[in-house]
Amino acid sequence: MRRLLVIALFPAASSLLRADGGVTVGQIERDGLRVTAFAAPVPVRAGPLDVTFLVQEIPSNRPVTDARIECSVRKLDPPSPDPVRLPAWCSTVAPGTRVLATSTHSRNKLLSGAYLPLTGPGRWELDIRVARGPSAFSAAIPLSVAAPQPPLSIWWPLIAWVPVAILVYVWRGCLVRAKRVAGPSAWTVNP
Amino acid sequence: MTNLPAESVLYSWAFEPVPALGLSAAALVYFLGWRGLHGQVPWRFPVERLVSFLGGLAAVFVALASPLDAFAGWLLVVHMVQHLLLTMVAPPLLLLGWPMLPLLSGLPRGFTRDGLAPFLNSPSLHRFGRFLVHPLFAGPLFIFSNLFWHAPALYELALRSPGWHQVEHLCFLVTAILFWWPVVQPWPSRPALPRWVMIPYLLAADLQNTVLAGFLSFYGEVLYPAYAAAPRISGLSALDDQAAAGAVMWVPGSMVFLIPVGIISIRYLSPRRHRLTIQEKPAVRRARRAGKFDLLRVPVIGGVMRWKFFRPALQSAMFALAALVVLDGLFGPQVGAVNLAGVLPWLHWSGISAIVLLSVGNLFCMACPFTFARDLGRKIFPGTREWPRALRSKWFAVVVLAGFFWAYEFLDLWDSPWWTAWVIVFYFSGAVLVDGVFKNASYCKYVCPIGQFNFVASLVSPMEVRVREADVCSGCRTRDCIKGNDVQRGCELLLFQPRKSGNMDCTFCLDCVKACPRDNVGILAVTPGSGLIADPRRSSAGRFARRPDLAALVLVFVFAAFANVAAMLVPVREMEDALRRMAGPQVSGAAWFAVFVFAVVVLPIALARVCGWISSATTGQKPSSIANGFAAALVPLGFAMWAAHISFHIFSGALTPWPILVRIARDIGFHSAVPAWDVSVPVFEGLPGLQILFLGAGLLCSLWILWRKSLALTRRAMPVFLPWAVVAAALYAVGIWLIFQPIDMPLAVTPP
Repeated sequence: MRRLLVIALFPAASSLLRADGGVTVGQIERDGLRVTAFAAPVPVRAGPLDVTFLVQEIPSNRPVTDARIECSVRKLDPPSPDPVRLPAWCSTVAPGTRVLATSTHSRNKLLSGAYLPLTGPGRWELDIRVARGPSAFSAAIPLSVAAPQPPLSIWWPLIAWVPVAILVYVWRGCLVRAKRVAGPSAWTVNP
Repeated sequence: MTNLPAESVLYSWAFEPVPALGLSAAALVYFLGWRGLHGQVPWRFPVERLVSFLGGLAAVFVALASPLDAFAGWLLVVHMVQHLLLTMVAPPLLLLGWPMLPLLSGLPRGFTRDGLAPFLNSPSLHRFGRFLVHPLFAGPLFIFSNLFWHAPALYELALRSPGWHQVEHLCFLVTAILFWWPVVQPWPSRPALPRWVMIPYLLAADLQNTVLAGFLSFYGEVLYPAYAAAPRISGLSALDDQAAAGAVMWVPGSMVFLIPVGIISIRYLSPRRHRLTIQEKPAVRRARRAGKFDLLRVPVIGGVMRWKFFRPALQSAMFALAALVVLDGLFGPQVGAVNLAGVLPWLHWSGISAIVLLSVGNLFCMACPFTFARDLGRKIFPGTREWPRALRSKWFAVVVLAGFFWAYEFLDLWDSPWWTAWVIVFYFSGAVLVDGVFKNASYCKYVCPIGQFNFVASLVSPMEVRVREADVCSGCRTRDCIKGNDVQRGCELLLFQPRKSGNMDCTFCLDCVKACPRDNVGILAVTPGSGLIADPRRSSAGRFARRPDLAALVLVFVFAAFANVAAMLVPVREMEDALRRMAGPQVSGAAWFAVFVFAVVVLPIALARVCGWISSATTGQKPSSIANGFAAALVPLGFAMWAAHISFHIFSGALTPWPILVRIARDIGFHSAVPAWDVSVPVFEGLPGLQILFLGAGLLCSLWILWRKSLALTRRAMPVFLPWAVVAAALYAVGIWLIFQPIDMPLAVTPP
């Protein structure tokens, strides 16, 4: 009964489920295996896509770590006239290139993952090929990709600490001046 | 959990830079401070304090980087253990280490005195601190934080968003430290309320914990939908998982509150213990010898570095490596990514040099293979002539350095193993030829562009070759450090140790260390960049304010850092290609050369002149003098840009030499294995963050030096400081923009 409840809840709550690679974007059950695909960022945006997969046996739910998963992305819409440029750290593969998902990519070692390039917003398809022993199957998961996030909106906290540090230094200067006015003694920190 | 592959679970650790580096730094600072205090007041800071503090840091690390965090999104019980570590294990352990004094003592003394003391001595901040740890504030805050974050909507928010998850953990840790403060009452803080108040204080927290735990355990539905939807990787259902999480919160959680209640009650009810009087306390041990960190006095490392053959051994290893690079460059495949000449000099050498410049000093010049060849050549051609007087400045070096940057980027030296090999051969020939004709280390001082780069970068290194005790040198008449003696030559770059300040022109050869008969020269720690604030008359270099050639060298170093990154960008490469198509290769090359000269030489010198002119209006000093002196303050920002640039190469190309070495071994018939060219390229998603942090640190360091230099000139420092600050801020903004641009350089190795 509880299992049924969980299965019933899945579609409603799948967008809340997080793993290394973000939220669930699809689940496939075939050949006695259940493959759950997670993707980040949330929502999926043009740029590098962090995709991870959890493979489980049906019905035991036992996670499978010896399956070989290859994945690639394919744009369904016509190509954008001005493709999104990927950041330097992720300019490894072109869209359409099949990439092997590995557990070294993901922190949670039950997952296998890879980075894939999404070069523009629109409708995309995540193609996966799962092989375990003699059996193998392929599947496609549709992705709706939003426009990329400006890098400043991602990294602003690391830029903001500079003015904060300057303000703290200015505050320190005010404290030093106030102390000078109050008395001539020097700062001391004695253990 | 029997269903889970245990190996995969146990290996699910993460290298998170913030927990790993932040906690390591905290442990190091605490240890340094504790070591001093343990020597002075061992009864207050016994080993137990150290163990407790390090245990607290370990608990935080386990909570944030272990499999607990990796599986917290799938199992509530695991998430609960993580939160217990952050709220009930780590904070009391950290506070039992009495961290305030060890942390303050462990930080650099100048930073504590000048940076922190104004805040620590501020009465209003004192009052604010006492308010934060007052039981009537800290207790309710802790309870509120616990209830707040366990509300389903907020818990779900933290599960959904990594950022909010970190905020949640920070809230837990900070409010827990405040909560446990009055319970532990770390020395030397004073309690705000009588000790017995801690009993109801802890019981109230336990009551809240019990109610929340009971609610989780007995609530008949899954509270957090994310756990209902999570893959069932264990034998637990979502509801069982929730009940187990409640039990973990209830039993171990309550114990953590009740044990201190018991201890406080027993102590309170027991007759007062006789306190040790001063006379009864163990004798105060002699404090450890205070002084600057000296690398040469570190056991083993110091001994090895002072060994007579240490430098020749390093140099010969580098010489052998250089020979291998030259051979592969000349005779190997002419594809940069599969040739040692395309990889080692341009990726690994520059990366390792930057790391050691940032962490120690100019160690590349210490291991320089070119001077090794020069020393061998001198056996036949000992240089006897003086370097021409007209060339005794850095002007020639400025031209060579700018030319080197130009050739690297615009002639694509990094993609031409053959040309790289010839550059190295040319380097060796230059060193042998110049120092075979002229005395001393003329090549290093006046010609070598790599040396000039390292000299400038090492101005912000944290270590410096300098005298240990100035008084010892005042009685010295032999001046062996510069003149040498029968067994050891003196400094070939004519740096007289007592008047040496900063690392300019210092190759870390350690000749002065070995020559000093009083063993008074070491590799001492200094505050990075602090040597640029004052402008004393330095040995050999003189005052920076009177050295326009040095200022030009610094400016080329700084602006070339930005130009070199710009030349790698896709938009710039596209412009270059378009111009080549439109105007032909010769016109395009000339145009880009003009742009380069303008960006790296003309623009910086013009900006320095303008800033110097504006700054001189309020000080009355010569504009050129201010321009020369203040230009050096931009070195931290320039080096930060170089570090950001090089960090990209380090992360992208770290593993590339391995298949090349396999290929070379196959080429010379060592074995027949086929090189695996598809070496996995480590993808570091946080690289832009690291680069931004480098740039931010560089900007702050430059601004700090500029401000202190301005204050040294006049009390009305702002008009002097402002033009330079605008230039530094503009360079920082350009650097941020460059970091966000795509780079035209494939990370993966392409098979030949």
